[in-house]
Amino acid sequence: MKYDIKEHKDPGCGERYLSFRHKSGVKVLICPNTYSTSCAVYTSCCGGGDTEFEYEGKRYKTPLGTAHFLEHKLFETEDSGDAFRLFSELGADSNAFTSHQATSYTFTSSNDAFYESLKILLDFVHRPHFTTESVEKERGIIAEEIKMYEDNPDNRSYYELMRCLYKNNGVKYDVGGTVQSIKEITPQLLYFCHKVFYSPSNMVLIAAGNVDAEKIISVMDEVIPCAKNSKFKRIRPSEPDTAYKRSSKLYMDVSEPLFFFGIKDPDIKDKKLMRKKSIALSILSNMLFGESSDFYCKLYEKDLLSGDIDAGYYYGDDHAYLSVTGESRKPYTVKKRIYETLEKAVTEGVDEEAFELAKKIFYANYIYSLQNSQAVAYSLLSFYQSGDDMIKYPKLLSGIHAPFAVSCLKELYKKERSAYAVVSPLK
Amino acid sequence: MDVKRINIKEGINLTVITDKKFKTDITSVSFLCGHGPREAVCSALLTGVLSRSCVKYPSLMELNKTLDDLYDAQLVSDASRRGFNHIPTFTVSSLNNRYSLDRTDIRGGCLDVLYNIIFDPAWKNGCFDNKILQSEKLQLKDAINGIRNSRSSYALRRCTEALMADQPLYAPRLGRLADIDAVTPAELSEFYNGMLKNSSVEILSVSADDDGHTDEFASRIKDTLDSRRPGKISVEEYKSPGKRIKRMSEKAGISQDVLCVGCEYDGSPADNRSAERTLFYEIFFQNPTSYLFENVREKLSLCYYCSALPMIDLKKMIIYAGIDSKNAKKAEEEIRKQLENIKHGVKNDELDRCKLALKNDLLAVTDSPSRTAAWYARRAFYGDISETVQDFSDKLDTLTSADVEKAASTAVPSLIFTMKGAADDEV
Repeated sequence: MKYDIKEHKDPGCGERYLSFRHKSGVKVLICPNTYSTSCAVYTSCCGGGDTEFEYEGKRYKTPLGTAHFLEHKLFETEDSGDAFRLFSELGADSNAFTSHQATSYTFTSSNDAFYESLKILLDFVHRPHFTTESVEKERGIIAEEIKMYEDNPDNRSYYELMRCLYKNNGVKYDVGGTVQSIKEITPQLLYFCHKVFYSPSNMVLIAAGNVDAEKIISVMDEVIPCAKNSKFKRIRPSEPDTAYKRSSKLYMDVSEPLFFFGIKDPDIKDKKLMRKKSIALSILSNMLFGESSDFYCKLYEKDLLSGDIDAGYYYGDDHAYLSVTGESRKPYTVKKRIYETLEKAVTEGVDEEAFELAKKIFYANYIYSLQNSQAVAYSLLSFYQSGDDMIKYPKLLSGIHAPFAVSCLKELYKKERSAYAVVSPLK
Repeated sequence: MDVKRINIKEGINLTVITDKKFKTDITSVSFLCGHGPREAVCSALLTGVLSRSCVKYPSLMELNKTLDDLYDAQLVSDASRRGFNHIPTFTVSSLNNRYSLDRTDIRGGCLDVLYNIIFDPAWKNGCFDNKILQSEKLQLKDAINGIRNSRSSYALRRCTEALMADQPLYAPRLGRLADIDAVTPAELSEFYNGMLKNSSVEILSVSADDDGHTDEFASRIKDTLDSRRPGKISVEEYKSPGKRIKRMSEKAGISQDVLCVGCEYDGSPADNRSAERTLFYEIFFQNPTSYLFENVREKLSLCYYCSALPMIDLKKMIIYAGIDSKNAKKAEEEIRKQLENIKHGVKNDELDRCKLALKNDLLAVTDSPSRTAAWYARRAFYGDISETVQDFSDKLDTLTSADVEKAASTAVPSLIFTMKGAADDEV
């Protein structure tokens, strides 16, 4: 079969990649380069947030943590072996991760072992094998993973903020589920979810390295089943525009308080605008709260902030928020300063020259993300998931200016949409 | 890749690595200081104080804005440890000049920042500013206390301290909390002046092209450090451990216990980077088919993670896992069983698989400026950078199971340390 392969090229940085849709329905992005290793990422566009969906006219609700459980179990192969071992025999390094909206499987290998490794990757993802015994065994491992994250203050604070901002959206739940919810997962449920979530039209394959599109197509032809693509419809619960709770405090064994501030953005329907808005608000939040900001430097010099701060705008297909997170021995003084800083930016605007300077940081981060095959593959995936063309990023970035960013902030900033979560040391 | 090493003055060495494919440049300056609690705490404080005491960048904001203007250049000041010796290191990393959009000389600017931060501090009455020192003391306390937030890191730190309790020359990388308050501006200034005069200095540069900036930078350092008397690197004393296994536990507000099996682990400092030990680590705990992963996690479902931290420069190794308290005994037994197994019979297929995985990982080293820098930095302090990544890869091919068994043979458990959830009963 002849494919209409599109070339995406940025003459400025010299980066290029190819894209097409394979006959099975899988979307393919290939970034050829001359690095010493190659990387592939195979992603299902279903993740931890897909607990409610319609399939062939029927509505389903699955336990929290099902997508993540499936990710663990897919590595098991028919002969009671596992894909890790198969990759290992080729010297390839494999891994997998589940997020709210996707599940990815990846390997990095020598250029010589790339196509054999790709065969293993596509094969194990499309050929599930679950038994009652092996599911039971995995439950114990996943329960320990869940407990490990429960003990992680950053993870707990993040979900605490999500639970403040969102009343119904699944983004407020840990993708791993709970020790209780995973008890409901059975081999039958996993087989069913695999059929729904891993339909080829729901998948994207990304390859970066010293790779050839024709050879990749040949492996895909051999391994990916050309079955009927399932009709899956995601159901997302309706969500109020305002924050569900304005504040929260929990106690953990931490050395000093962690703070998580967020503003929920309900205006996420226009996907094209979202790309521009997310870049503009990320630059602006970095300018207002990043390590060169008046906010950060003054608080740091007064010993009111410890270490790093993270500020940015984040979005997925059903949610978006701006957040500022860090550590402080006086988290409520920091909270006051965050609101003051935002209000000042909304009423007075920001320095346009400083905004242009801040754009340099984002351009640099783009180049940093293209440093080796694995970084390139992950970067392509991230742009693909947000509906962006990676190559167009530098041009898009250069066209964003301070007045647009401030207008986005004015639209976004309403106190009733914001929340502040604090994790304090145990009393 | 081109590698050269130049002795620019007694006790000052420069290692220059160039490779056209790198998109970023990294330059670091490290000072090998002495051992003991005072050196540890002064090294850690100095890295913070110098970043805030520069004549050219009198405020944090001025420094950070300069770095932003250099396309988000990253300045990292960090304290590390080699054996019992403490090493303050100052590193700047940035985009290569060819990615500059406005002809900014990124590399020249970064090296100027690095030089000024290290060598041109502002003095107040002949010492560092006490206000800055007091502020950095708080930051250092936060950093040390903050280790508690990462449960496994904290357990490893506590276990290491217990293993090293009879070693008066040992101090943790960031020093001890109890030693911080006693440091005065005069003492820290004396430490700084002593460091410039007496320590061994390693300058390391990794970049796309040797454009003369590195030579100029090295020359500035050579002229600045004009009267030096570098001391000899001390050889640490080592007391033989007792044969009995000690047991210790500590309570924390966590839901998952962290089990640490502390081992005595004999070897010379050169073994730290030997192919034999590296292959042992791969087979024992790094590979997804490793003894610990396959048995403790996959076969017995006792944990989500089970790994090890070899500290051959301290002659210790800690094997650790996050476990449910009811599985503590079983997990300890299995870990010790696997440690014995690897000493008595590594199979050829395990050997071949792990050699291949390591060789592929080594390929990735040469794609990455930061991994290339780490490769040569580890070797530079021992004065020999002649071993290339390819040499190491070739050496792996010659190794047999007997080499791995020998590398494993010196690891002998001496301490079982458990960080336990508050709800657990005392052992």
